[in-house]
Amino acid sequence: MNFINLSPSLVIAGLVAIAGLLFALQQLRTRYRTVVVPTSMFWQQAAQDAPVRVFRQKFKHLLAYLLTLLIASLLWLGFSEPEVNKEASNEYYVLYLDGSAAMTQGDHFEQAVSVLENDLASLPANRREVIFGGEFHTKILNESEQLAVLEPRLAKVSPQAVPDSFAEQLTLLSQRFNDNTPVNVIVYGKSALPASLQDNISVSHATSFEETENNAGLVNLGINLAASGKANLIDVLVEAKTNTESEVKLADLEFLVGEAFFTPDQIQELGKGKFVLRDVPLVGEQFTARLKNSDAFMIDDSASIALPKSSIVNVAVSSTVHNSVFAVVNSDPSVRMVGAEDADVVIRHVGENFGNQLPALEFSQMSNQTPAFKLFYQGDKSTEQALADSLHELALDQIDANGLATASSQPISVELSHAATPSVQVWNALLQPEFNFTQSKSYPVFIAQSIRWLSGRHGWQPYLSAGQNVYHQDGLYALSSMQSRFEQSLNGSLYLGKAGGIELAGQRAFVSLTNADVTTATADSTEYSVGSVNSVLSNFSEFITLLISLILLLLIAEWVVYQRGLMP
Amino acid sequence: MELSFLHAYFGILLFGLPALWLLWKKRGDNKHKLIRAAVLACVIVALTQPVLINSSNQAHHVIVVDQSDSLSADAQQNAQSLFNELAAKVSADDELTLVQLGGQKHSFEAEDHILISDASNTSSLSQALAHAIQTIPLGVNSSVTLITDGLATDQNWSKIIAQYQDRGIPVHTYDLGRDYSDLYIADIKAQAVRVGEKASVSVEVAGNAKSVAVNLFSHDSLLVKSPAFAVNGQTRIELNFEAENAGFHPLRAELEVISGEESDASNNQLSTVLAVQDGIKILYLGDRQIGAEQHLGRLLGAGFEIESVNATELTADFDFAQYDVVLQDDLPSNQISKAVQEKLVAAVQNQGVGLLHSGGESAFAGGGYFDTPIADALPVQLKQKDDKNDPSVGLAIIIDTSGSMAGSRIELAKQMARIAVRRLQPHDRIGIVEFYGAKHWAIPMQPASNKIEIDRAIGRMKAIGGTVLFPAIQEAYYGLKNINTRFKHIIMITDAGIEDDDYEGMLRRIAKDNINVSTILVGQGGHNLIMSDMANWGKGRFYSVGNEFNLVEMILKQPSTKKLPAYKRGAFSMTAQGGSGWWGDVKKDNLPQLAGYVQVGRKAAAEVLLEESVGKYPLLSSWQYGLGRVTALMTEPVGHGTQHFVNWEQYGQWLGRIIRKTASNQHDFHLTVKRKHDQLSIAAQRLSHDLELTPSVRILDWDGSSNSQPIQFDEKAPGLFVANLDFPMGQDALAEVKGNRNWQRSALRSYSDIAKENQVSPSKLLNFEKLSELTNGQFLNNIETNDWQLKTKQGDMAFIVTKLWPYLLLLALLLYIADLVYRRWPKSTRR
Repeated sequence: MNFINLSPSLVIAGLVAIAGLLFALQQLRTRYRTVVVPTSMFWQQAAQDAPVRVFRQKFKHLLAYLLTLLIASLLWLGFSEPEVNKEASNEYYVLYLDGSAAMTQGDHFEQAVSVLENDLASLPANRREVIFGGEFHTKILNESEQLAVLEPRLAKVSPQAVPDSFAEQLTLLSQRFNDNTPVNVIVYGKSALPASLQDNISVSHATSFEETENNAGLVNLGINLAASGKANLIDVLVEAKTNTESEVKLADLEFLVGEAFFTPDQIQELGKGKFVLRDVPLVGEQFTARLKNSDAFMIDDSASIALPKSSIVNVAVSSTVHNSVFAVVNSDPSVRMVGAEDADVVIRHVGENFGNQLPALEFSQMSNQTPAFKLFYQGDKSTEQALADSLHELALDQIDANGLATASSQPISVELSHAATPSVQVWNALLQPEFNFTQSKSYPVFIAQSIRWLSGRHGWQPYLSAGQNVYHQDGLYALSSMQSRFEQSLNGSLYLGKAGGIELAGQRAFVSLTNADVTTATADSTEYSVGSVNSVLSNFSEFITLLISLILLLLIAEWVVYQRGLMP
Repeated sequence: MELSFLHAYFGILLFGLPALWLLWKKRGDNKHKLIRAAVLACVIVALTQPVLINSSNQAHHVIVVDQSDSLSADAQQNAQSLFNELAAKVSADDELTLVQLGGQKHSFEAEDHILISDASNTSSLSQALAHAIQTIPLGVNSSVTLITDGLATDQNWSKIIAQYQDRGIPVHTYDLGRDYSDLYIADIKAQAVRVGEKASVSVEVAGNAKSVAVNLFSHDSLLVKSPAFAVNGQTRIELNFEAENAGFHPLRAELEVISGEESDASNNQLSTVLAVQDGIKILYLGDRQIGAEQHLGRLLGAGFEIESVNATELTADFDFAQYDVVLQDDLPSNQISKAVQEKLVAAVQNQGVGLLHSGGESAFAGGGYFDTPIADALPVQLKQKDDKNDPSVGLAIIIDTSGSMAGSRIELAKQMARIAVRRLQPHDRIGIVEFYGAKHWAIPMQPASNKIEIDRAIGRMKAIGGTVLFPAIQEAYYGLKNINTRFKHIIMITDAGIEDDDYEGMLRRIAKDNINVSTILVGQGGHNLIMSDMANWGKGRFYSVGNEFNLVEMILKQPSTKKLPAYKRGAFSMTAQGGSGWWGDVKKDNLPQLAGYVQVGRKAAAEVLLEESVGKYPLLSSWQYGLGRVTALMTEPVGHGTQHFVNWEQYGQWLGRIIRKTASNQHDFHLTVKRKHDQLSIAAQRLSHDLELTPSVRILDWDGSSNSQPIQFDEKAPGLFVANLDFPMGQDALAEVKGNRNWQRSALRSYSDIAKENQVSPSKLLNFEKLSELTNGQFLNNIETNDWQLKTKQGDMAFIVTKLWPYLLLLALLLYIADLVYRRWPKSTRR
């Protein structure tokens, strides 16, 4: 047995001192008592009942002494805060409170919290901790922290619109407890238990919940360039599923752009609850798809995405550049050719006096520039690293790089450098027809994406799903996709937490839950092993409560015995 | 401050205290009862387990100390010293947790010590930060300090950075610096290629050395060795070799130190997987050249799969898109129906299929491709010259100028003669014999070029004398017999007043010599038996011209036009155009002569890559047509025209380049495979215009078998399919995706997202200042040590919790002892 407040030697010393003190008290002489007797016949009795006063007498009333000693000892032990460990084991308990989207249903989260608090009271404080698994895994009760601090922290957490990520937490635990410490991870919620675990870590559920019937929800919402090829239009994919055999019909859904209901001109039904809205205008507002009738599990009943906004980039093209550039610029509906004085971006030769100080796409002599492509970016080194990772396919697969390398005796490469003003420099030689670049499919994409990147007009993301990284487009499209993600992160990869509105690249964006596991898992009929956890914990009844209760009972019993005159 | 009770319901027992007075009155005075009540009250209140909760300024500091193998012993020691310095700055009231990354557990002065180690010899800084933040309870004043060399073995920063930003916990960083003296291979990348193409493998070497080389192996075979190069910090080199076989190939780069010191050879090699796509799939149409398909296959070598189909069996629903290029070799247009041609052109335009149209006599115009769908797609103008055939005729006109012809008859005769002469060409021959009792060549047989003179001669004729026809016919016959014209005619113009003679015998004889005799009766109108008979004998025609209103036009010959063959035979020199983009390593000078080619015209927008040196006729021309490319080769790739190419060593290579350039490089999907620990993420972006096309993906083992469950894709956006699956970190991911075309391969080596501790690329160095900036921390290298302050994030849920019940029990004990003393203490009494 261990003691929290006192060392074992102090406890023992205290007990000895208490025993001695009580022993001394037990030997104190009895006080006189005046006894009124009616006749002299009771003198003998009076003499017996009122003995001569002595200061100290022989030790008597052993049982009374033992009772008082017991009470005092228990009080002393209580003060020293004993800890009782079953079999003196070093088993550690991690209580995982599931805060994912599945727990938003009804009062499931509150149920889990209630069971958690119950179980927690039975566990030794220095062998347990509580982790809340919501958008992030957060410790809400550290080992050795008092239960009292849990209440205010629980008030700050609630289930969030994010998929379950219990497996990640388990990975962290396996790294932390790599010394074979037996760890018992108890899940208060609906997190799926992973298939394979570390030997010293066992996982179990502590709670079970009622199944949700007939749930439907949005599981995918994404956008892409219109398949029709028309300018300033996009296609929107909407997919909804149920947790039964039935399918979501188009009539079950409604769409909004901003606050207004939206009826698309063309809807392609792909079956199994999947629809594509064709040729939706780029209005720059929030697009929402939702079920007309909500169900018991509401968090997946709607999803939103930000529609890109059509914007025009003013470009000035020097008359000295290759004709093919004009053709591309003229055919791009998002680009308007203007004079240098009105331009956002210029296209020229390196060193040409045309639109100075503006972001520029420049053509250079092969002899003056070692890499075929040179990007001058704004930002820091991590921006460079992230850009480099994104651009490794920059148009090279469309060019006869080997042929060009042979002709130039130089490798074809992309180089990144930091500059105050962004620019893109490319070998003029690449525009010669012999290298196929101007005739390749990637050439117009390269010109278009370069213009957008230089203009600072950010691209758009095809989808934003809660609990995942922002989808990373690479190659030429990486140039303009969410430039500021490089600035907001270490390596260009941004994590999306819970569903809701966010600021992304200075623009309002919307993250949606859209997770099929969440929508369809509510019908999971797995039976949770409630009993095993309780049986583990039931042997750990609250010792202190029992101890104090015992003390109370003994005190009451002692008082009753004293009142009956059975003890001094 | 807040008082909280863990079991507040026990407080109801306090209401039982008055029972001391009510139920037991016998012994004990009120003072005693009060003492006893106090004892019981203390115990009851202790039973509710009260705690006092105070807000606290106590902070929780976490220091992450890198002790991984990438640090030298000195650096590890330095890190420990820094930890001690920082720990000394932590207040005694604060909590300190040490997260040690790698290495052996040292005796640090820290209450809480977590050792993170990984059996795979990696040290994840991001994971260390994840552990660090998880030791900090919600709402507590806190800070995290990271002491490391920055060589992160993975780049999984996104979620952890977001978590620090969300909780507002600053991350202070300290850069221990790095030792780049050790040479190692830090990175290797291999882009997928097609079989037969040049594969390019990029290898990053880190460290310092004067002279090193990189050897690239596949299994135990050396593929290529780099030239020697120097390394000063970080160098990337490219190694190229020809990909000979389709499939997945393990590659291993090994560093060879030629000059320099090497302290650790365990990191001198790195492996990857090269995905080689299937060869170019060629649909060969053509059977004029016997054995051409096989010869072509031998000529092109590896990298090409040739499938031959009988063009006449193609139907309009044939799927050309399953091929990369259609090679038409001397295929006449009538062997491929218009509907099939339209389908082929549509496949080129909309699905990116390549078309190489080649051949000789049966290709192009000679093959009947004028005004066909394929002709519009070709980068050349089809040309074929017409040969207008105007056969020569020899004409002898016999005009009766006897007295009976006087008046209108002679004039009619002259008119008829003039009409006959009018149609003659200069290469024709004309002669006019008049008979008036004697025969006379008014115009001797001569070329009909001087029609004016002939006309004058006709005009001078007068009707005089008698009629002696027979000798005139003989004269005309002999005159025609000696000339060399295609056709020969004798026309007799008379009023039928002629002598009797053996006309039949003579005329039949004349007709036998292929000289036709026609007769014209002038003046009388109607029919004349002798004249008609004479025409029959002479195999000619009889005309009756009564007056000037029924003059007849005699058709003596029918000119015709004939197509001249476009295919030219001979010995023709070629001049190469175009740059190394088309020609690559093929030498453009000393090209062999061409034995035959088809003359075509140029189209303005097309490139001419090869032309006939004298006439400048295009021999090889190409242009982009919609999504695909169409190339025209104006000779047989294997046949008469290229018979001299046998001695051209680079012919196969050159032809292969042409086919490669023409072939489709359009895939149905753009495949991206990424790995994060034991999760594989596969994204397939649809490039095909078929909006209902979905990807099929399989993951293969090295033995080629696919043992995984079918991969379920989620269509996240129109045409963007994403699948996430569990996949062991230590296994190479060999993925193939297919739409309607061939399987397209992509590979990720094992542990592709994790570097070994001693093989971290310098380009993946942690950006210390950026990390601190993102989390509102400090970069401690920029601050004097004495000024270091572990700035914390202020929390609103840091508490000091004081348990009151132990003290209540202690109080209860003291009161109990007081109770005992009170009832046992001897009192003085009077007896």
